[in-house]
Amino acid sequence: MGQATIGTPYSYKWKDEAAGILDKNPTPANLINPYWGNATSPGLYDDNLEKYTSTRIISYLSADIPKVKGLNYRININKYKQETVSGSFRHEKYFINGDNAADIANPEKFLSSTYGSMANVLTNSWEIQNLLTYKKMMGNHSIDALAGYQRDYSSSSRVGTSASDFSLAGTTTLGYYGLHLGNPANQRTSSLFSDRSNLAYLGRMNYNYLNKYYLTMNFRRDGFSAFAEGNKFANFYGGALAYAISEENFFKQALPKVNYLKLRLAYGQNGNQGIDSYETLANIASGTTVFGSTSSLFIYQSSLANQQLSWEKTTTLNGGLNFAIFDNRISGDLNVYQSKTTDQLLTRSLPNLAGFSSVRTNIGRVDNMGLELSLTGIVLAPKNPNGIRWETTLNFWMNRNKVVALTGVDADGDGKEDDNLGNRWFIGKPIGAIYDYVVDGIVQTADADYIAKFGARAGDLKIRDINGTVRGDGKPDGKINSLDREIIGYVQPRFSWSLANTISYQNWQLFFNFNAIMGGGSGNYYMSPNSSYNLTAFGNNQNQNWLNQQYWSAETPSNTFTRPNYSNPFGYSHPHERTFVRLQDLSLQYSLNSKQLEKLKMSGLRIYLSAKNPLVFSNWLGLDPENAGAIGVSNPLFRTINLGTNINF
Amino acid sequence: MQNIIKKITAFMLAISLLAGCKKDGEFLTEIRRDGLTVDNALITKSQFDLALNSCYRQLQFFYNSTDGWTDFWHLGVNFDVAATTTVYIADPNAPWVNYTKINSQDGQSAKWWNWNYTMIKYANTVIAGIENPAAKLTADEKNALAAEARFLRAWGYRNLVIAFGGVPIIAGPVTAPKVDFTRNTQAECYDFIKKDLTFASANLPISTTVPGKVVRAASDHLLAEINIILKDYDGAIAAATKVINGTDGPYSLMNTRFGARRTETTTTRGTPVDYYWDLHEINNTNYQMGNREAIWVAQFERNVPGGGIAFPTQGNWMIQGRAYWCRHWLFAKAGLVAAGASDSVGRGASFIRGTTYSNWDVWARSAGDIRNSEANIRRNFYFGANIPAGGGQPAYRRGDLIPKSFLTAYEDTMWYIYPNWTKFGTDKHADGNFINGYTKDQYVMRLPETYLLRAEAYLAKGDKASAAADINVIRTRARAPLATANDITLDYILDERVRELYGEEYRMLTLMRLGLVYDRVRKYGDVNQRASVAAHNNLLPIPQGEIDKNNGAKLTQNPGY
Repeated sequence: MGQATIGTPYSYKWKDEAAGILDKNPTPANLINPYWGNATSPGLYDDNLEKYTSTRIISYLSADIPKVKGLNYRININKYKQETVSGSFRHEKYFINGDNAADIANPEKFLSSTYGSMANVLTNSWEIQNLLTYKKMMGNHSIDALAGYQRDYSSSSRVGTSASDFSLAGTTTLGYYGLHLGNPANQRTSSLFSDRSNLAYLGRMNYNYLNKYYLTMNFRRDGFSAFAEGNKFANFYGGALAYAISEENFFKQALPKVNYLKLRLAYGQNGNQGIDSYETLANIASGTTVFGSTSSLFIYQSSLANQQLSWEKTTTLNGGLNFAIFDNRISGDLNVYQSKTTDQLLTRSLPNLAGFSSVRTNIGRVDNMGLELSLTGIVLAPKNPNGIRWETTLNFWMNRNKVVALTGVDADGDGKEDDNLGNRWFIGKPIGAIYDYVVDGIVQTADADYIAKFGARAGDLKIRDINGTVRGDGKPDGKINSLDREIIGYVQPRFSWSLANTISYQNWQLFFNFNAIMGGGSGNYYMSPNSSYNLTAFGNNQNQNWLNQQYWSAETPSNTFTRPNYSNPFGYSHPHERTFVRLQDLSLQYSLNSKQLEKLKMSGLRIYLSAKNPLVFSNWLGLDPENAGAIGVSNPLFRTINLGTNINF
Repeated sequence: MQNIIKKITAFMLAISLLAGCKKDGEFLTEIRRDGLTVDNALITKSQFDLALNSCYRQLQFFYNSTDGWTDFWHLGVNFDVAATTTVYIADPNAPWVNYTKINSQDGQSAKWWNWNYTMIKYANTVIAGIENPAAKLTADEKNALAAEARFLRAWGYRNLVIAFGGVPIIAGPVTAPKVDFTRNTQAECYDFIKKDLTFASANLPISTTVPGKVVRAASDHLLAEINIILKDYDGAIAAATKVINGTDGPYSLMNTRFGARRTETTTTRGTPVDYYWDLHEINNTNYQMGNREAIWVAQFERNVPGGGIAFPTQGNWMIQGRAYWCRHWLFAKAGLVAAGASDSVGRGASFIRGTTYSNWDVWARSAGDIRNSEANIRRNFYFGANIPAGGGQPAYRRGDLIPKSFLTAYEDTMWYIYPNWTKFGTDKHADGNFINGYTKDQYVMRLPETYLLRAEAYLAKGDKASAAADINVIRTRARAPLATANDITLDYILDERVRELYGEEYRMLTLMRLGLVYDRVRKYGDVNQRASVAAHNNLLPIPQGEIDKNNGAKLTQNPGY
């Protein structure tokens, strides 16, 4: 994708198609033919192998226990095994200079540069569940209970080998199956293994009376091998109540237009075990260095041990209702929740001077609250089959979070816990705070005072001297420095919604769907200066396409974009609001009904015009606001339009 | 019947499960099978050697971490001896082009901080590990390992404390998240360094068969510098003398042809060469091959795993030549075309250009100085094609010397033609590859610097005659006119450092330890640097990320940032 900004569609792939010689550098000269391959992706001169074989065994045994009606024992035993064989080889032709006839005639001179590898990965996992269930109906009472014990285990081993320099062998015909012919000094092997295990005790009881009153209680005790010794287990409790009030006679009489109403209340705990094996250990990594002309290994401690690492726990109180009214024409589901996450598993940045830039850790407490609403309505219901029918569904969701506690540091001694600037965690503020400079557009030639005061040049970012309240005293000091940063926004959106509509009329159907994310920001690649793309002085990047945007210059004084050679000495992240409303899908289709089809002796005919992502409304400058990406870094969201027909006989 | 089969199956299953079962705790025990942890990684002597090797790996970063100009910054780029060109940094307001734009978010300062603290972490792992009762080491092995690790740690702290002022002293491995570091004073840091070096000087071996490993002379060399900083000039002289007089091994300045190309009388282009040129040839840099002035050399090797950092897939290419050399091969006006890169001009990208000071001023009174010979500093470049007369210029023929009068535009002398110091490249690229066929060991410490340190100490004591004598050892070897006692000033010593050690000594630290960044950049720096440097630039800013992440205590920022 990175080449999309450089390549021209008029490039030609081959230098000599008959001889199978690619043109390494089609127009322009700095573009390498994508078929040539590069360091990370294979091209036409490379061999590649990916082969997967897997076996899954699912077995169970279920037995009704004699003499106790409703009591059942079930054992599930599942096993999964996968073998992946991968190989790659880069042949000598890859290394030739595509413009050099001598190279093309004699690619063997590059045999010393060829290399290849092969690896075999075996993953193996199993799971055993023992479940005891009991179901009983006693008049209007119904009970459904479960107790269980389960274990699972997975492991993965990898054996790999690689070789380079096939000049001794004189050929690379064998590719990755001939690695033993590589230079013996350059044949390497590696063997890796990792495993993890989980176990759980669980119990659940559901009770229901008259299909009106529901009660659920549950319990789990989980253990996970990757947590630190002594911290591997955690217990989780939960309970829920529900009341289908619309089933009560008094309700039916009082509110006959309400077809269904159920009230729900739940309280429960959840665990998160989101770490990998061996993250609690002080691991040693290795690499190679050299003395004289001899390679040597080196080892170093690559991670900081965390002997306290344990489960992250979230306790949620959740209330809601399901309803349907007006002959079920409007129905919906409303959920509100409040949750408290303690010991959140996060990667915490540490000062580099200790030699470890981060550690996996459980941190403090983060509170969340939110609301989710889903509404479905039939706006128009036709009286007869040929009328207009219009259905609409609205989804709305919002979430607010805030950091309540971190690691308990109070260095300034004010009795309140301090913020953690290095990780951008601020007590009382949401996670994902954008802590950066306040920028008032771009410095213009006429801003003589600003230029003189801060040593700026026209075309620079106009950073405000505020001595922000997070670290400074809020009084400008005539200098732009790190004190001038402030929380200027948040990554997380304020709320999101989507709206889907289907309108049908006789043989026609129109469908359109909007979705929207409101608020929240992100660094904007295309707002930042990109001197390598904009200055021909660099020589290497002429003829590249870029967004059509007007960088600041004396003649075209932009207030949005800096001068193209601005080097951004403050590391400003160019955050920009991502709010957008997108017409996600739009489709119009015409299909024949059964009578018409019968006449034509067809079983189906449908003609449609559909578009994905046809319209976006946003102030975002750059590619798509949703993924906030950049060409060559991520793929933009595509806009596709289809015109099609389906015919069935 | 069916019922019986079911029962039997269930029974067998239950038995097999029970028999194969471990207890819960046992089932969840985590054992790492494919990697070591600190508990079993440092037991045997070989393991400790591997742990020490990480320090040498870290040293490679100082010369070969990435493309661009940034690896050469501490060697004086954007100080008095060299500057980045507009080819590489187009923004006149970029940090290090414009000194006022160097702030606490400066990437160079952060890199310096991280590199050296990483070195210290690696050394600390070894220093603490040898005290582990489980370690299977003899007393001699312990001393030797400790000496090597403590030297490398001292070197890391020296790099930090000169550049940042007092920094937090971390004397052992950090085993738990710690965010309450505070800065030690400069005096505490130097005291710590001196203790390490004193131990290292007493316990390091005098020689080693392994190229790149530190020896006693390296420790005494560094101790001389630290003693100068501490104004213990007698101590400095004593330490340097041990290196110079043979106490630390038979070191001497090379004054005859030697090494891989000693039988060749000219470069591949035909320029006559000399023994000084041998000093900077590929494969000639290690003491073990007979180079008697190499004290400590960072190791790089082409086409060998671990032989470099930045370009493992390009044979461990080192970009010194690309960064420091002019782009004569692209000089279209002089008839050169892109394909014109050749063995002798390489494929310079002119990221960095020596200043007028280092390219010309220091050579003003140097008749006969072989360090300035055409073989060692290439000043002559030639036309690549016949150029017809025009624009006030006569006609030139292919192969004619490009005269100064031909260089009329800014780019002509800032990008395309300027002196190429041979030590940054080669005239004989490996594998015939002019782009990346260059990998060479790098001198960290070379004997002439020991002489210059001792001269500096003599000068500080007022003994100019002895200082001149030391400098004249170097100048005699270089066949340069000798200095008189009256010539000797600190400026003279700094000039001599350029002549002998340009691109080798950590010029940034030399200027910083003397408090001369402001004076020297103002006087000799390139135009932008000269106009913007300020007194506070004698120290680097403490990286903002470190201040921010260290939220349990205050890491004070240096004044002015």
